[in-house]
Amino acid sequence: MSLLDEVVSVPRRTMTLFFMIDTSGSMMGNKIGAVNDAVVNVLPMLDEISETNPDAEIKVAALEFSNGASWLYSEPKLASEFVWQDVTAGGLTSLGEACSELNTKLSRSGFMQAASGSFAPAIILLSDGGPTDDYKTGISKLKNNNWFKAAIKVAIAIGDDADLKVLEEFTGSNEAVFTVHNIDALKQIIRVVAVTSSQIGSKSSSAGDATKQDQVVEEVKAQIENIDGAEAATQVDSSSYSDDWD
Amino acid sequence: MEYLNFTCQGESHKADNKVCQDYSLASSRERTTVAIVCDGHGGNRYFRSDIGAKYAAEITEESVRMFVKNIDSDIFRDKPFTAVGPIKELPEGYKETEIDKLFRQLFSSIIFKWNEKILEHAGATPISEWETEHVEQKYLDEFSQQKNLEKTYGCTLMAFVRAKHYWFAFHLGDGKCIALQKDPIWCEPIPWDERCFLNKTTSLCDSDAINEFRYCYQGKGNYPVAVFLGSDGIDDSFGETTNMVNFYIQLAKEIVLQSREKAEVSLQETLPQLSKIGSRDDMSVACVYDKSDLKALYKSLVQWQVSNVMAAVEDINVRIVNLKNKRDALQRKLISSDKTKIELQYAMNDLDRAFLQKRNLVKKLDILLQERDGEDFVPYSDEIGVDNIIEEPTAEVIEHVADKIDEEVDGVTPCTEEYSED
Repeated sequence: MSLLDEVVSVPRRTMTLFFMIDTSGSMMGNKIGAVNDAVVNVLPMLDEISETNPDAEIKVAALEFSNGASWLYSEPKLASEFVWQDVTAGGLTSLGEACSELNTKLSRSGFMQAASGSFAPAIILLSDGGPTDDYKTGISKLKNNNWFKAAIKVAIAIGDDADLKVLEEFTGSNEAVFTVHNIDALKQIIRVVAVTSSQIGSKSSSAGDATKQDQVVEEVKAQIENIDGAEAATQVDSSSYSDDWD
Repeated sequence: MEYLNFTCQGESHKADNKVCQDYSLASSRERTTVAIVCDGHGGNRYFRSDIGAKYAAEITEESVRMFVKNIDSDIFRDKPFTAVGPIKELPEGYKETEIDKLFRQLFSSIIFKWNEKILEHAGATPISEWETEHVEQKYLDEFSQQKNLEKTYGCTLMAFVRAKHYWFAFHLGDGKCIALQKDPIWCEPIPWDERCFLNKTTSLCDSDAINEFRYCYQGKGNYPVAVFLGSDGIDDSFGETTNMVNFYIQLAKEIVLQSREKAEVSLQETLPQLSKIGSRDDMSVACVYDKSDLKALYKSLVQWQVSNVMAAVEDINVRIVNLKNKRDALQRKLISSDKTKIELQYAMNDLDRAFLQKRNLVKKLDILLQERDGEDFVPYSDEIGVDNIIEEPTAEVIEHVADKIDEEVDGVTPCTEEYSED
């Protein structure tokens, strides 16, 4: 007789994908439009990964930051049910506050469940400038957070004005920062990073000995070779691209 | 004392054509009963961790039996329940006791013998065809040069030992040890190591392994009624620890109502299924129990299950009331923005889902109530109901659930000394 009768619960394992989106004034216009468009388009892909993955289901949470930081929803939603509400740009770049807010939610009393049965989250940070608040305090809180330490962290620098050093500090590696220079590249890289992080992050078995973060970085690097206007942050000094946001 | 254990290959390992890297054993002789679970690490770097796990379990069994045989059992006499965390987490000024010193000797001996054994295995077992094909060259080179051999065989280790006058347990790495007892009904007797988080674990192959052991013991003649050791494949399948405790209670009930043999067969049938729908990892359970004490505890176990599901029903009632309030508030608003429409749709979907969860919980609850109350069984019902109908709960119900809204439910019950008498 199976012991898994009607009395025992075996919940599905979960991986949460976080979008952290800079909605400061400099994002106004095409940049924020491209972000809205790209996230709406990637959600069905995340749902498909979640549906076909025997290892885990994918939930999505989104945090926007400008003069402050606020979550689109008060809890992570299943990728299949996440309804994207277009974000609008205006104000400053409170990255420090966003990091503090993320730190609060990366906990059992926040958005995370028991560590047993969970996968490390994936966090995608998008920004086109430098922080206007005390970001160091926020980042240092995150650096002590076990969920953050284990997370897949990727940053997308939108244009030449993005502060690459800060994004590198956030991800813990300059390899995990990617720069885009035009609208189309921005849309494509959001798709590539979100899909790759979800695919790798929600798998229980990993190939070889590389960390999931390393695997995501390698995969994204390989894919951006085909995206005109996107490059690894390490290549920016010798970049042949110039920003074109029209 | 009775015991049982079972290990099976995980679903993901079947798919990848990888061997099972868990190993468990349980045995009883000379009035000493032992249960051990070892979990070999996944990943290319640890390509012989299945062998490492087997050796770790066998060496530990031999070592703890020697330990019990050779030490003067008076050292444990009248010792209350004592739990000692990894060295790093001990309070400053912690004074090592004679028992601590004995345990350090035991752990040191296990590590030493395990290293000897893997060295011997590495020397006698050249790189296989499968290993050549599947393992990265840098690890094969290291192996050939006998560098970092312990990594190749790396695994976790967890053991419970019940001797004539005392018991002890120790753990290095992840997985969980759960004890069933009179009050509270369950606990985790061995302190946790915060370094074991998500897919990270401490290990027998760590350079500082000796300082990563944590352990507990008691010599007052009181024993847990049953102790279950489970690898992280079990743990990860259940998420919340209470779900796992519930599973072990089902196994304990099977032992009481049926027999050890039937419980073992059930475990053999269940673990592969659990791997399939749960963590997909290898699965191991080893258990030591006193059947007559377990029998005496039976009603309390069922009562715990009833209370556990009842608490979940109360929590879902709180959620239902909150969602209904949210939905009603949004419905009263003029639906002027997309945001309001989306929030309303979410509230309605979440409400449907909450009722579905409640229906499932009530089904479980009725099964347990029937088991507890027999002929006096009355199906569970409450004023909130199990269907999403537009009916307001009474003020009393709202007040009751509102009281619960801010309550934090912590999954881990602290361990106490209240073990059953032997």
